[in-house]
Amino acid sequence: MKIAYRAGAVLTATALTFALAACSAENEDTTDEATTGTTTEETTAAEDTADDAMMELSGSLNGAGASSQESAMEAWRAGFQGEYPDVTVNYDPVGSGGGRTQFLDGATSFAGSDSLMDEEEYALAAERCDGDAGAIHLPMYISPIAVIFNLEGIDSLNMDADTIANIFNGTITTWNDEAIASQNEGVELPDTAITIVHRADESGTTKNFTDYLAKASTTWGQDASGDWAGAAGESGQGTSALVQIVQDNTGTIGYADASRAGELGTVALKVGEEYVPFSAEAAAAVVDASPLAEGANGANDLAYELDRTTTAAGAYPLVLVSYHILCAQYDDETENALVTGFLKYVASNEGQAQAASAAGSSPISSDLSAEITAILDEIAAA
Amino acid sequence: MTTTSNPPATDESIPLTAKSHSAANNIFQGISTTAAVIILATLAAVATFLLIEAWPALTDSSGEVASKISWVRPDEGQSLIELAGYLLFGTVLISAVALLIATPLSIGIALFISHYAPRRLAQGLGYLIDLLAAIPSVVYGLWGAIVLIPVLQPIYEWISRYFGWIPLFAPAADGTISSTGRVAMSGAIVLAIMVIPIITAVTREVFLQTPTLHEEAALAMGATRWEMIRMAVFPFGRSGVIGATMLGLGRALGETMAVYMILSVGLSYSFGLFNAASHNTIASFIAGNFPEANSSGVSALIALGLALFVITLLVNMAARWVVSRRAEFSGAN
Amino acid sequence: MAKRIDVNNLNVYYGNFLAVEDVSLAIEPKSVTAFIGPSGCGKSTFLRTLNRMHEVIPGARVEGEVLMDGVNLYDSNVDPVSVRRHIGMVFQRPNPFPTMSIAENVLAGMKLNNKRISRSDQDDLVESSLRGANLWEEVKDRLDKPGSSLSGGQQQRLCIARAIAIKPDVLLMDEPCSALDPISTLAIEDLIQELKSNYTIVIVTHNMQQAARVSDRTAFFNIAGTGKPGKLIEMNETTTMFSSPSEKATEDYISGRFG
Ligand SMILES: Nc1ncnc2c1ncn2[C@@H]1O[C@H](COP(=O)(O)OP(=O)(O)OP(=O)(O)O)[C@@H](O)[C@H]1O
Ligand SMILES: [Mg+2]
Repeated sequence: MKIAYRAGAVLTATALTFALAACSAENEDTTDEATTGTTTEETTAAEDTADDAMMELSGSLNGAGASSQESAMEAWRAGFQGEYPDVTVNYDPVGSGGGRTQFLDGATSFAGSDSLMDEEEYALAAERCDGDAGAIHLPMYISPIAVIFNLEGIDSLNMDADTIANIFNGTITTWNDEAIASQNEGVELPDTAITIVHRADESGTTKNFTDYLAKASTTWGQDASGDWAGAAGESGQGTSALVQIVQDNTGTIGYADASRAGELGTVALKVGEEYVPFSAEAAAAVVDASPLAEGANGANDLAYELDRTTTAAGAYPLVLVSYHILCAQYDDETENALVTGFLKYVASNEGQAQAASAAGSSPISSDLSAEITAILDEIAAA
Repeated sequence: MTTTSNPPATDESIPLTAKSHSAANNIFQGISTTAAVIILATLAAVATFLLIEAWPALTDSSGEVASKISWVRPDEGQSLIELAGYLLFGTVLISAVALLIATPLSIGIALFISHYAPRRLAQGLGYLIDLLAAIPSVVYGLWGAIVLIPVLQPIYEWISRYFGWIPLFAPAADGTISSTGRVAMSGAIVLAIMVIPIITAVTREVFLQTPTLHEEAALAMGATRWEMIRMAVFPFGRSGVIGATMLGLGRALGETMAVYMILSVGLSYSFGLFNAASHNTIASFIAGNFPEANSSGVSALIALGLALFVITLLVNMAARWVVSRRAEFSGAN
Repeated sequence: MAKRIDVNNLNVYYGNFLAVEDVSLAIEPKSVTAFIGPSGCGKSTFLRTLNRMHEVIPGARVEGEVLMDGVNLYDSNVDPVSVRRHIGMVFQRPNPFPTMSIAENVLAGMKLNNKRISRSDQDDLVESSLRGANLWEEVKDRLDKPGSSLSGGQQQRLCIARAIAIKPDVLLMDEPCSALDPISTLAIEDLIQELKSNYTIVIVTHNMQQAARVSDRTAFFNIAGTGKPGKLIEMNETTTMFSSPSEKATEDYISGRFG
């Protein structure tokens, strides 16, 4: 009975694969302390300029979360560690959900997240954080999402939200459909069938794209969801695969982080009476034009309810805003100094420029940058 | 006896009760028992872990947990249990087709190496096959997605035009097949390419073990080489080949990356291997939805993992049963 | 049916190793020829050249001719497969197919020849072959049991039954009785005597009495030393060989004196 042993081996191999996947899945906090190290000087002079205090920074700062911020985070880490060689910043791009969980478990000092905390998470955050103020969101990474397509000889098309929604819910099936043609006078549209390409994995990009369709169009008819719920079509795991599929097949249309649009054709969105192509300024503009979310945790919690239906001139409402989630109060002075120091760097013009060149994101406006810096100063001083 | 240093016992005949070599014996027994216990304990630990983690989702009769998971949509026929059904179907369909392609090819290659190729060539080939087995699945996935699929898509068009009456090759309800080739068939082909080295390597070893006596018995009766293989090699290697296939199936069922990178996902019970967005596998679904999952989502994903675990177990048990049915004739006595 | 075999100047090699050198002999039809000689002198090797089983071993080859009724078996247009269908073989160690039942083992050769025969003819063939090999009484109630479930001696007789089921012209037996008890040995010797009337039989044996009892002619092979090729020393009527061999080495070997 040789087979008996072989079969056993198969089982074990499978079992081990599970074990490994499961272990990595668990994200269990191995350290109670998210930060280690000490500030060499007591920050006695809280009224001193923050810069002086920061000169003394050392230790390590741990964060985890959205993978959308990964390349930007690389740039921020490098830039910040260049200024403070004794500081180590770690960021684990486990995904928004995992990042929030780790933060709420106290395993990390901050989280990166493409979506806002829900009520339950706000409540957990109030327990996790020192003091009673709970946690807040700071928008640090704005990235326009481009609707990309592959049609020979066409670089740009104009579409309103209804048209995009109808394409992605399968109502419009050919490129020369009247709904598209009427918005693009003078463009020679082929009668090719439209192939929709969406993300196969759950993602912040999908969530923001469907959020735009749900709010800006009248025809989408569904709620925003990170998991694709539109018409069946081709799908790819991750941005790269999606872009690859669009590149390889004519007649395809998809959506992806604008920095990845490359040579592909992109859609200019109808905002008010104009068609706005994506751009860094246009993306930042919609954030400035948006109100804060209703459930926000006080004035310092910059959790935006993005205004997808904005008519503000030159705003591009199809954006992904990724936040840093942090506590409103850190009793540990080292942790406080590290978190506020690093995040201030991220929000600074320099930090935003770094991210823009590394990840193709849109820098937040200088007004917003100033507002964030003020909030962080307030936390640092407490 | 000229030496006096000999202990007295050796001068006498060795008593029957003496355990002169028991130390090595005990150590070996200890090691192998420990290894066996560790394996069993690991298996039990994994099963327990899966059960505990999946428990909230498994016992979620009120739909409370499911309501917090974005990809569970009961009102659209995608409750957790329905989802599991689709995914299991996709997993088994793709793995089965992969094995259907891989097994005959592997047996052919293994036979060529063990019984047809000149020795030099056989060695080179064997080495190559072992090398293929070591290529990580991401590489196969990438290659499949970028190089293979564009080549396959026109072939699919052709097959579905002329052999569309076979359910596996039938086009979708709207009469079309996927225009990108990112379909179950592509996943199955890449999986097949991935498991061929494994099945081949094991099968080749088994074929090489065929006793010369049996091969010569067949040849001496006037069997051609192929007849000899049917008479002596196949019957002897049968259980080994089934074992190798199960090993391949195990990999195919659990394989994530290759399918993950190749398939345009969808949920259906369609047998149409060329249909766009109709299938997904458990492993690929877990990989795609894990990063953004909240705690309820993780629990549900692990419950799906548990289902895969159970399926693999069942398949293995079935294979053992098939083999044991004719154990008497296995020649292992 | 029975055919004669003439071997002319045969050299047998394993790769570059010359195992048997320059053998010429004649095997008469419808007779029993015995090969005797010390272990390692090349009896099995030589025997296997007679049905082209030698070349199955990688690197093995021969020089010279083996003529069966005047046809050179090593001619380029002769198919070794059909040679083996005409010249059956029983090996030194019993080798029934373990995955086949007793009856299937006997019919294995039949199936190869693609002859479609009726169920009852099959049963008859199984019975006659097993009776021929003197095994019928022992196995008639368990014909569907695996061949490997038999004792060693029974397995050897099953192999003989399997060999005679295809009714070959020539039957080569390599020490067929080395694993058998005296009773089975006698049974096989009787069988050989019976088969002689239809087949040409060549038998390798270490048992002088057996050679004397069953064979009509005997060939004595010897080897000069390790690494040297085996050679045919002399061949003659068995009675002559055992009473007055012409070579000293033969006499020494037969009478049990060496060196
Ligand atoms: N497969 C092989 N490859 C290389 N040399 C071999 C092989 N088989 C046999 N020989 C060599 O050929 C010579 C003859 O061997 P063979 O088996 O023919 O002897 P034998 O006379 O049948 O001996 P025995 O009476 O012990 O069966 C020996 O020197 C043996 O080592
Ligand atoms: Mg021999």
